[in-house]
Amino acid sequence: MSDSTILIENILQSLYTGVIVGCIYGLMCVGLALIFSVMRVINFAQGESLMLGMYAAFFCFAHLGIQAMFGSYVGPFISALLSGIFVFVFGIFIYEALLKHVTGMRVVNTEGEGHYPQLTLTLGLSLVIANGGLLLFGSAPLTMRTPLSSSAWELGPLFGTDIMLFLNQGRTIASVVAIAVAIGVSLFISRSRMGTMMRAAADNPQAATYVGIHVGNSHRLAFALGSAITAVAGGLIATYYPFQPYIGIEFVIIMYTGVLLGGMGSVYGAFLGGVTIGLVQQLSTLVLPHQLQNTAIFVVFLLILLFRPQGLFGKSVDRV
Amino acid sequence: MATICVASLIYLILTWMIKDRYYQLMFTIVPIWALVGVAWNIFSGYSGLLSFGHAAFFGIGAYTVALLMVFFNISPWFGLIASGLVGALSGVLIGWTTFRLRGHYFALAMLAFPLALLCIFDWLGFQEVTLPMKREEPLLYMQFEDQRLYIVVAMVMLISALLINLALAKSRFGMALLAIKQNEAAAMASGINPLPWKFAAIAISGAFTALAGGLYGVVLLIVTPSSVFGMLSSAQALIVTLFGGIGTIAGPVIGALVLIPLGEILHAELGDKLPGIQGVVFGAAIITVVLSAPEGIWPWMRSKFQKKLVDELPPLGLNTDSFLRSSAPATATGKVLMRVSDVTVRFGGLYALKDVNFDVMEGEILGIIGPNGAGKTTLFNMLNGFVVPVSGRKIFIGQDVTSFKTYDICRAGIGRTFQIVRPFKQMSVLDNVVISTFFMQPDTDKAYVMAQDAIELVGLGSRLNTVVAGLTTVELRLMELARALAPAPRLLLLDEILAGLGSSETEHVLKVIESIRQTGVTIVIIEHTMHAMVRLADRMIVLDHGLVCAQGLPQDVTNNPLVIEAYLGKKWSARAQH
Amino acid sequence: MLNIKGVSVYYEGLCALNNVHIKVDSGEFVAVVGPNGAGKTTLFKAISGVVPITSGQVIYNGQDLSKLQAHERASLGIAHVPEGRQVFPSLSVVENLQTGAQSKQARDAWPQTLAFIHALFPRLAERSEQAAGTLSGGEQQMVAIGRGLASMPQLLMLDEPSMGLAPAVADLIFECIQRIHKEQGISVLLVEQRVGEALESCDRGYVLESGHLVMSGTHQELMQDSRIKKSYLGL
Repeated sequence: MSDSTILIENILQSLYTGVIVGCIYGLMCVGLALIFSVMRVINFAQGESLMLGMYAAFFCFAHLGIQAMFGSYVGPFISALLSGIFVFVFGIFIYEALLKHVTGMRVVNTEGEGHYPQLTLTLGLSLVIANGGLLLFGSAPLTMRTPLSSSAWELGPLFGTDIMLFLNQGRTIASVVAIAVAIGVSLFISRSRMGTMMRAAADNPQAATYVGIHVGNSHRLAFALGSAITAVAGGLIATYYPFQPYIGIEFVIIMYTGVLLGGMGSVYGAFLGGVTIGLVQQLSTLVLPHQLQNTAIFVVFLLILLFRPQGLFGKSVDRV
Repeated sequence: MATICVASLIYLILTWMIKDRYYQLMFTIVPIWALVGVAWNIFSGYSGLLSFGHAAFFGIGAYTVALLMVFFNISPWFGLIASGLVGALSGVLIGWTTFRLRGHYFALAMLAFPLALLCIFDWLGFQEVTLPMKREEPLLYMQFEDQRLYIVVAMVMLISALLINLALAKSRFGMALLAIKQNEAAAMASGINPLPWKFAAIAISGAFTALAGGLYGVVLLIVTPSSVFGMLSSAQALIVTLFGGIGTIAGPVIGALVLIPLGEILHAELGDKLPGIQGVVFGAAIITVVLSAPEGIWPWMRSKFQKKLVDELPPLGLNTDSFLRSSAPATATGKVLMRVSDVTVRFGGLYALKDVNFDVMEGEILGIIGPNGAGKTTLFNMLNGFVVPVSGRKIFIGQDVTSFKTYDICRAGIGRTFQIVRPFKQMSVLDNVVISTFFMQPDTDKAYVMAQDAIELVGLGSRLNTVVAGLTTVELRLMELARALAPAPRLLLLDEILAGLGSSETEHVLKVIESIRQTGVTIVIIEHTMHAMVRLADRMIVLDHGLVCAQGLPQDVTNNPLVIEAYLGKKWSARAQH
Repeated sequence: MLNIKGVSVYYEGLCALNNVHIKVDSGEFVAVVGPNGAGKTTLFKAISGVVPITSGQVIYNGQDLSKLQAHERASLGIAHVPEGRQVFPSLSVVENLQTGAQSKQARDAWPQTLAFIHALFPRLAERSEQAAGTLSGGEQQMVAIGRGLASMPQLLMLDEPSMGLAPAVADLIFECIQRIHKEQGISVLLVEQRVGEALESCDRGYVLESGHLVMSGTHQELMQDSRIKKSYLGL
């Protein structure tokens, strides 16, 4: 094969992997964007929701018998979904115990809308959970690989050339699950009564109170659901990537970049932002050495902040 | 200052008595982190821009010293100086990229820098840079046999930072930063241009943090990306200060004294069985502080103590006669002080002001009235430079000030009061007022005299040195008035200064405003309280839906049918005609 | 039905409302007028529970509202149409209207209520799926009123519904408010700066100035009282 054909093959492969991985990142970003759009809180601990999702999924798979019940092909994906439930409950607990004291109606009309206490609280929370994880789970990396992780469908030769694409089965299925969950979430937000209440509370907390919506409850739902969504994404990532308690930090910048790209107020934009980041990450492997992949993302992050903070699919984040 | 010297001496003496090398190391780390905390505070505590990325400076400092020694054989004595400079430079660079960002975005950007640097240094192959042992000339390379000498070096750095902090706190620099933190808009209206101050703050902060990082590298003899650029470093800078008290001098030191040994002991004793216990405890400390004492432990203790002091103040009896200057009433000279021609302000598709034309005559009190939403506040924001008109001009004393920024407008001689007053609660009335004179009076003593004159003019003379936390609302309003007056402006814009005041308080403020006019200051005032306005204003301008619908003497304006219609509605004025 | 007894509201040392007494009986249309800064919006916020009362009581149908949190008061039958419309900009028109129907009773009756709102405001039927943030000021006011009606209120409180609207649109809004009052028998508490419009349709009115009640009376008494002009314009 000629050099240019190899290059094209690499590019196509990266594009494919980028979109696939991007869908999972997209789901991860949707969780964060939900929390931000409803509560206006920058949650530094979102990476830890991801981490907890990974461990919860592993726990379901290896210790709760999911592997035994559903086997190693389907088991991991079911575990990923179940991890969402665990983290949802955990999210409710965290909201009630800690977050509600620095968010909600009490800060809606105060100066700076309570940003700094929120940022600092979630930073502290992130430290506690990540290090607590280290304490409880140890530092040995784990994975929840399936036999599918190492098999791939072959596509090709394409267009009469020698180009072959390898579509990793595990990751492809994970991305399909991610898309399905994202669709489910979007339906919930746009069609259900609780979803509409959440959107109303996000748009205008004071008017929401006038019509009888309990803004604090909407915030609680948003936080728990947002954490759970990211956790499910974590469970999916765990099927192909090793994890340890400090993994949150690796992914937090990816999440924030994706949400920023999509426009910080927009949940749909966040999914697309995540896909874009997946693409950037994979395409950058073509030109950059492995360790600098994340640096490319930081650069994108800073560029967006500087030149287009409202993101590509921007939505105004100012309250009514 | 005395406290610093005494406390440092005590610390040095106590630590000199420690024989165990491990504890000696721990007590060296304490002042290093205290230094980081003080440095962090100089920037974030004073400016209000919380930096979650100071690890960037810490790491840069550590690597500068380490790499200079490993590759160029340069002694840390020089390496530290270099790291300070590099730290300052990085501060300016990072500031240049992030200062235009607000709130969330700023916090996120600051977070990204150390993480990016972590990846970069990892990739560059500097996973573990060890400082070589120099057995032949240890002192030249800052390698002390006696560990305690490191404590001395650390303390010297900390003391210099504290002294600088002390000098800054009371200086224009510190006060400008605090003013920016409290209310950036009001600071700009007082003539402060925020950007140079922020750069100076981050440069100093970056320099000291880098120094701390450099010493850290020398003491531990090894630098790894995660130990210096990691989240725990950024978090430690933040926690130590938050715990001890943001914006205070003693805060970071107290925080470091308590938390660092705690962290190290936890790590040492329980690190094997419970890895990560240090992070858990620090995180829990942050959460506890945020929820129960958000300003920090030291200010919390101090506020408990201070409450008693405030209760002991005797009530201020407002004597409306005592301060009135006995000069003859100033006559309006008939000259036009400010001319606003054809000004239009648009926000997107909406016209907030359209083709507004009026003059402000020297020596008069001009009232601006109009129903809710008429554009009065936009007019003030335009006069003050917060909002730039899309067309039209404003000429002040012959100078076209249409596109002047707010601080330049202040320097040209236009002052403004704000409705929401956010003073420095722990500082005296005099200190609060003097800030607005700094931009035009380089001599600090003269600045204080100007402030004092303004305070006495508004009748707060007896409250000159009172801490602001003890003032009543009307006293706060008067202080705000003094702040706007202190730089002796030619034109003063008063923004609803009477809002919500009771009738005797309103009387008092009206008398103060009249006496201000007597000193030759021209006044433009927005108010809702018509009863007061019609007595105070020489002329009035009525705005409705962004247009000037009437101008003239109060009696004429209030009987003008268009004005009646604007306020009371068409149906009322239609009936009233009958 | 609604009895505001001696209510005072202080914030930050300033008195926003001072010992105010206002009553709305079942089926009445009561107007509260007064110049800017008089405390009219604070009054509504105190009734809705968003602002705490320093002294006095707000009693609705015999029940002291101080025991109820803000979001719990909507289900009592009090609908608050806030100053500045305050629609939910990213929700569609029909979603906005539906957020008003939170109680079970309101949700059960929703189809009929929606039909009524559409009959009253045909433009909302036309723009049903449009995002409320893209509507004109007048249309947003219709949405805000419709949202209030969706809760099947006994008392409709409107805070300066004409603010920022062109005169013709404001007239239309006032007509609709009158229709709602006459056809549905819903009691109305209207706060307005524009005196003529407010007093024209009311049964009784109050005049607030700097947080104090300075006048009250029936429709005829107030329309003829020249003191109102003084209250607004000082002379």
